Amino acid sequence: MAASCPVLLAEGLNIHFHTRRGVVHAVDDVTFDIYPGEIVALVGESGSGKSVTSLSIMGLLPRIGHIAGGRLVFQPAGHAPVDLAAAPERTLRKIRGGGIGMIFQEPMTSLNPAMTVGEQIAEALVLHHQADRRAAVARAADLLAAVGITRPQERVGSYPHQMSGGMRQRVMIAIAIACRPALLIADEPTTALDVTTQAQILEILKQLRRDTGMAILFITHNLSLVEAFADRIMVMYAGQMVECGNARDVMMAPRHPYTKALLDCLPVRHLGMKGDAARPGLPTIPGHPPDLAHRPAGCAFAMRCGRAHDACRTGHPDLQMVNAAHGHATRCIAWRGMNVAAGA
Amino acid sequence: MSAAPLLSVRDLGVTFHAPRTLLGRRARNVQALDKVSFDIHAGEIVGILGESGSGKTTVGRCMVRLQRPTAGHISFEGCNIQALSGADPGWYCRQVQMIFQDPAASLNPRLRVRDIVAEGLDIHRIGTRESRREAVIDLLASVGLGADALMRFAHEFSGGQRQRIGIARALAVGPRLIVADEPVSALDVSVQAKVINLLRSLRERLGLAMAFISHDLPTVMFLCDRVIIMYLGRVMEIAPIGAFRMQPFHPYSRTLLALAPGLRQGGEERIPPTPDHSTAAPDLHHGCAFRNRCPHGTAACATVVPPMKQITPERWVACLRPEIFHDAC
Repeated sequence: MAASCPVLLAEGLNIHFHTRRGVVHAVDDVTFDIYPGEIVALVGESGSGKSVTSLSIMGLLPRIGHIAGGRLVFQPAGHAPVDLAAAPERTLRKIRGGGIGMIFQEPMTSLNPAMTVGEQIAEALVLHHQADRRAAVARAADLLAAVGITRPQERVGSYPHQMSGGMRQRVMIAIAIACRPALLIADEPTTALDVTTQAQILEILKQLRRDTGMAILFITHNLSLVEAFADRIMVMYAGQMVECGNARDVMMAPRHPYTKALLDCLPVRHLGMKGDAARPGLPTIPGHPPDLAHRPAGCAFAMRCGRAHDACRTGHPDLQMVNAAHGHATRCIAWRGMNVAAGA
Repeated sequence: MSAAPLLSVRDLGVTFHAPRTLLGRRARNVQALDKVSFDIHAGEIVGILGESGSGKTTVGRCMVRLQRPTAGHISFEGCNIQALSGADPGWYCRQVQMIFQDPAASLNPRLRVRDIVAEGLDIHRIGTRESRREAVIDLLASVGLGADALMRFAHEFSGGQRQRIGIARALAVGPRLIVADEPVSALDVSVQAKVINLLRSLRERLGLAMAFISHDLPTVMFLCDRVIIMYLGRVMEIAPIGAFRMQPFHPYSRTLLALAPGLRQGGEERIPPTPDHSTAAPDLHHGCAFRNRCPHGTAACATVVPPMKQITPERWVACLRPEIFHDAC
């Protein structure tokens, strides 16, 4: 975080999808930065644009989608900046799996069932570092050890189906970090895993961050997961960044009504010490997210927000600084009057 | 809880026989459930909590007779559900219904909502044609859907609404026990809260009992009265939620509580070492299923299968050394 130059800077990012229902504004004017060694969580529900944002960084948007505006400046230490939004496919190919590693939710579908895991890890090294095949397989064993797989020398010869879900996700991480990326994008990497395995994978990611200084963009729908894991949290809703700040600030004193409502929905925040049946129900968020092909005027959350007033339904709220020193900002014009206490 | 239980599971075992491979070799059989016993009482919500491979879904499938046990039995109000004959299987179907995890995959895409919800009523010939139509409208209203849903198809609804349709279908025949297999884990957080509230209100309104199968400890702790902790096909612990939160007895329960995001408190248990999956699960014929991850294991843990011990009138634990935590409280 001390480094002066962000490894990734997204500036005014707009992503459009052309569908039969019209143009869907999946990502709307999103700006953020990630510094070396930082773990930044991008949190949102389905349709919030979090995965689309991550795909655009890798240049992997589906054909109907495109970056309609903004810049995605990737600058690993000691390299010239590249605007990923404008870079040709050839450049992107070098960066994918090279400067930027990526891990996905389902490790089974992301691995090739017909290749040993050693070959799959070596593939990245051969492709990006022109490594000798034999040396690459040897290095693959080191990488498996680095992600906590025991007896890596034997494991390089295993096929994905011979491994458990947690092991496969470790293999995915080994592939992603093979070329020492400056940035690792992790899209729901632990969602399909058991809690005990999940805790181990998060521990490995933290360890790698400490050892290599890589930055991690962690995409998830699970707010309670990122509280202890991320340095900063960015909350997305309806294609917009609605709140960002230190993990602690956002979790303990959210300044956007959506963030607060989402936190209040979590059962974990409503557990008394006794399991009594008279407990009231969970708070819920009324209504649905807006149709992104026909975005309403004003704040995207206004129609579901108990605090909305007339000014919220006209004009577009900009990000307002809550605490400049902490980088805490919210896209709510009425944040000052918010009661941040849980359940309030 | 002194009254006779609604449903009793006793020494339930399910072994999946591995098919022969192309070369005629037999792979190992999988013991999905091993001597599982518990009760569910009328009107209570029991959480069945476990990780993948714990057998929690298999227990649920046995409870609705989708899976035939290879050992033990389940009785509902004293009737062995495997021994039902004549019209009795139909009677049992009306008593116990199921809600599935994936609401998109568990609703027939070619049927209108009206027909999905009414299917049980039609099969069991409950009421007249006219009264069934009324019943469907009432059922949809009880799960928060309007009559405009009647003629639509499942794909026209969001994930949360589809799960409501699945719940309405389960309620149609007037069951007394609902088996809900991960009913909210495929839903967004804000939608989960709505479905959890709905399940709770149904219990209060209709006095339903529920087996809530889940891997998410905070949700189970919020919704359920009691919890059954499963690991590799065995029950590790049974406890009322409040007592469980204060003092889990089994080392595996303690691990789960320590790892649940947001529940972590001081005095955190260490993350147990990863079981090395190359050596696969421990030999389940001898010893405790959790022994190679347990920080408190002894030599006896590798040879003796821990029996379920009753620690207090409402608490059971399958550990040879429950005193290590029990004495502490």
